[in-house]
Amino acid sequence: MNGTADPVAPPTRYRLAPGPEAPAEVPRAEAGSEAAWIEPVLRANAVWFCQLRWLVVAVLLAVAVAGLVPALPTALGLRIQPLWPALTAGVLAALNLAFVRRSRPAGGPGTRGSIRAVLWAQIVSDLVILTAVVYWVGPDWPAAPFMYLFHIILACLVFSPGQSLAVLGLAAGLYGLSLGAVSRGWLPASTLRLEGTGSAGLPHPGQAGAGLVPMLLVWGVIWYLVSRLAATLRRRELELAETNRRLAASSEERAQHMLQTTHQLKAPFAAIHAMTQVLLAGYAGELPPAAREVAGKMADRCLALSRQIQEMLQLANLRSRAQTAPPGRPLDLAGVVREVLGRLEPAARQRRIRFHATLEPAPVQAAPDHLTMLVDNLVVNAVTYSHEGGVVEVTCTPEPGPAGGARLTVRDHGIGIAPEKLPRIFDDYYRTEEAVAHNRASTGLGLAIVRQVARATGATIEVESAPGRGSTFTVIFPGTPPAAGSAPNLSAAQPQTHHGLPADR
Amino acid sequence: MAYLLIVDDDADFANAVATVCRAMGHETQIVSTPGETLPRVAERQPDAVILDVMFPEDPAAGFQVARELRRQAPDLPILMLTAVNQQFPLGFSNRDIDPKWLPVTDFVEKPVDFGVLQTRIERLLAGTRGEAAP
Repeated sequence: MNGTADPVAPPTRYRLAPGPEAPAEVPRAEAGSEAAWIEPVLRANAVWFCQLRWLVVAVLLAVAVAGLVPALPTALGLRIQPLWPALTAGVLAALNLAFVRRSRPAGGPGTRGSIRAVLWAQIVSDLVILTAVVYWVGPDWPAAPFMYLFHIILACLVFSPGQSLAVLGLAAGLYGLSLGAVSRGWLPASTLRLEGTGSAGLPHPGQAGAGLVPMLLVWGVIWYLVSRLAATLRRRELELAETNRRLAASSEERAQHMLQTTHQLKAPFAAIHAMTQVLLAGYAGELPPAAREVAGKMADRCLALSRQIQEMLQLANLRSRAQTAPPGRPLDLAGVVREVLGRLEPAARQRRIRFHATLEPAPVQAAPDHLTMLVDNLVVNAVTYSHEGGVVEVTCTPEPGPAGGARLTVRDHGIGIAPEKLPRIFDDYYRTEEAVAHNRASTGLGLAIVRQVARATGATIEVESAPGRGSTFTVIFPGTPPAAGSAPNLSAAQPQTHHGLPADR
Repeated sequence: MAYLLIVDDDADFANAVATVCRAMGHETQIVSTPGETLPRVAERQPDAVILDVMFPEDPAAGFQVARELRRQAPDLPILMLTAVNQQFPLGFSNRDIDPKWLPVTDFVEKPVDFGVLQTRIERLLAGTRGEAAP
């Protein structure tokens, strides 16, 4: 480390919270077609209507209960027959139960048509029940017919302008029918007021019709405004979805191109490396010492480049959405750490660096290869940036509490990282000047890979570092979701503390 | 002395591998396309096949060749040389690169350290199954 060690200054902590793993899934819709994305929107709306309907059921039940305590409505000058609202609430609740069941995502083709049918059934039944409520409330509550507006507006949001106009027509028809039926005496007049209007106050059929006209005008204007706004919104939403799809496709194409390119690079380097080994082994005749040295350097540089290409491939693969992500499964983090430490121990020993591992069985949910990559890169980093003869401490513990999870800590006592550089260490190809001075061969991709894997597994990374005193990387893995499968079979129940060598070596 | 069949489209790499195998005292034959492999094996059964994965016309041709070899000669040892492994599933399905399923006896990742390659070939010929063994 070129930086000066300050024994007093506290180490700086940096936290990398799990971010979005990839852009939101974009439906692969054909340009201009709303078929692919409209179905989930309709379904979400159907579910939302069901939730709203429970509120209405609750209000009707509350009114029914108020009707059971006559003093309460009487104080307000009202007279409530509890049977009506209770009956309506019951019918509405029964219908809503059916709608809830039909609104669940069924999957498979053909569900789009059925979800539209469910929405139509919801709106029509709501309008019929609303008409009954409006009739029961009576003409003393002039605001009641405005409740039809809720359905007209919702229809504008969900259906095409033509279909929402049909809903308006249906609402007008039902409301007109109820007014007409009362004024013509087909139905007894109903009111909530204590001193009701009774039949004496019945409006003349002509009057009822005249009252309906301004109401229809208001409904019409609102339908026009909302349906126009909704159509604009729908168009924008479609354009956005299409743009998003193109962006994701372009990003995917770039990632695939990078994968292909880096892979194409790897094959020739494998050949060059093979041929330098043929030279070095003397299969092509004995080489003079100077030529041997040159061939040795060529082989070393080939290996370094191959490693870099390998890391680029790892990163590109992790970021490529088209790749089938390897399935996450319950794993024992301690087992993975033990395997990595065992593999890296000979290289660490060359630099007289010892591992001090405390590994407790800790369940995590991850893809095995990805988890190995994460642990591998953290331990390689710790070894790389330690001083010769140093110690790398690795601990792995289960997280306390019912949620579960695991915590991995990799601590070195090496060059450390300056506080202002901490936020950048997970960027692609970023290397601090101190890191380059310590080890020229590192690629600057290791921590980018760690970040990518952490994102994919929902893990959080914390880094504590002080220049000249070393760094501590802590990865906190979330608990295994209960539905994800059974817990991993953890063999060792007792924590194992190792000085020097990992357990299996 | 064993007879080894090397299947790799990269002539330089295949020749380097053949040089090492010959230095070990084995006889070698190089095949540069996956389609030639089965007829050559039918002509004269090798003691082991050293097989690349990616070929120009099909990036996963090596897996297909390995499956066909398994059907034709179930006991023939196959050492797969690959520039990919489980961490780089370039265009392969997870099933292709699952070591438990991989239809080969052993695999070595490119770039190959010839010391490692010699050990693996010796192990292969001695009948010891490697990492890819179920």
